[in-house]
Amino acid sequence: MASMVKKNSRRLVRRLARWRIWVQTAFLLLWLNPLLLFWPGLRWMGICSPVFHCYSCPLSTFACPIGVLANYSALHVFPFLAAGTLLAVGATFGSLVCGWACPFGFLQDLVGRIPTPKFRLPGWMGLTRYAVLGGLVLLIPYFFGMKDNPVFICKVCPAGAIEATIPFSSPWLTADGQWHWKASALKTGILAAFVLGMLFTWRPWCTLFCPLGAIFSLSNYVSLMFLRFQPSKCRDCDLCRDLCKYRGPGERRGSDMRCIRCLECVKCQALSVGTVFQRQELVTLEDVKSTPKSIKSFPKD
Amino acid sequence: MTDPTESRKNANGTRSVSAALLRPGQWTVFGYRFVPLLLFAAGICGIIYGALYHLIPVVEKRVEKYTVEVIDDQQPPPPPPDWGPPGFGPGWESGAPPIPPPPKMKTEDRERQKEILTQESELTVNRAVTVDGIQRSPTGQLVWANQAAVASATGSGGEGGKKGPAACPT
Repeated sequence: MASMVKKNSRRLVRRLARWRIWVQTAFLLLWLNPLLLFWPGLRWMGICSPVFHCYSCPLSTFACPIGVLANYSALHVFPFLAAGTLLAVGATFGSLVCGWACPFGFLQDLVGRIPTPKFRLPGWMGLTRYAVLGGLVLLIPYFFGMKDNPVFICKVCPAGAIEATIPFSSPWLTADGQWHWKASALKTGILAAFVLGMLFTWRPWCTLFCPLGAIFSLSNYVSLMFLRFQPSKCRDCDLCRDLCKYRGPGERRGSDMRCIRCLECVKCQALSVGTVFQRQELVTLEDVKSTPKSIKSFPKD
Repeated sequence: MTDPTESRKNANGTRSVSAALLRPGQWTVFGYRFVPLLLFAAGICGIIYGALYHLIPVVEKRVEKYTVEVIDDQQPPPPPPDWGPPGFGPGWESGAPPIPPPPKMKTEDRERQKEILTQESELTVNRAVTVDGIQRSPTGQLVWANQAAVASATGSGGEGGKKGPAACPT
């Protein structure tokens, strides 16, 4: 019975993985709701969403957690609501949010579908995300404030450029009905660089700079939901490695910091979605014996 | 991080995965993993505390208008046509000092800045920071700034406020 439930859930997850683009579209409409143009009362800026988007977007439903963290850092106040939201969502799903719900990740996925040669970035480059989180989001606003601070995260954010700067520079929203590019040239330039980068590597913003991804990637180690690797089922075929677009080193481990839990790799028999509510399964000697040597000494990248 | 497949020999010779070697999310108490549940509970507590109980002192600087009566120095009261110099009017007796005429008063509108300390919830502050509505002053106080934008964006903080898109603060 239990094995049947397991098989069914595995089949469901695989099927769901195929529908990821539609799930992302649904979440996009939740975070950036076109109905706000007609019913502005639907705006809930007091609450943080768990995804990376700009709260200044005319369609934005919730506040951006990174923007709120940076602003609170500049105000020298601890943001219990934003931190609690990130902690609760991170502890439940880990970086599943990045792969399935983030609108800026969705944009990168869409641009990445354009058939151009893709380069894989080395793993150590992901560490720059923590520098962005610590520097641009927390320390610089804390010590230098947000007003007239040229490196405040919102002033260089590409999501802000596409969701707020471009709409608010357009003749439809400016007071004089003219384009105003000059004031936001820096942000627009950064956006252009990242759009170009999206053509040649998978999710460059997420891999290199996303501060929210940095927070969720840490929670990959402690989330209620995780990717379980069963060594006994691994045939050392490298299928999981081929399926992983983002070149996480833990294709077989699922708890890697670069994993966005797109669940593409669950097509491999050795990987499945697990939760902490399932009882701990100790790895037996047989498992260890049957584990291919290449996994025991898995390369760091 | 260590791999769950790493194992070591126990005293009885069997191999098992040491809990210390596993990811924190797999540390167990009576077979159940407690770290994720603990973090989830902490997150929920943070949300409840932040939404309901965390109050942030914010100074609201209001310009208050009031009216006062002041002596009109520019326009002394005109003497009655049939009287002599001011101060020697009816009731004046010889030798007594002249009675000063009553000064002419005028009303003047003045403004004064009043600081009101309010306790704002995180929900309100979250809304306000999306339009740079609250800023930290050099003295360390949090002050409302750009209240018109806050009122426009949040539908609060002033008369005539309407909910609408937040203007891009950058």
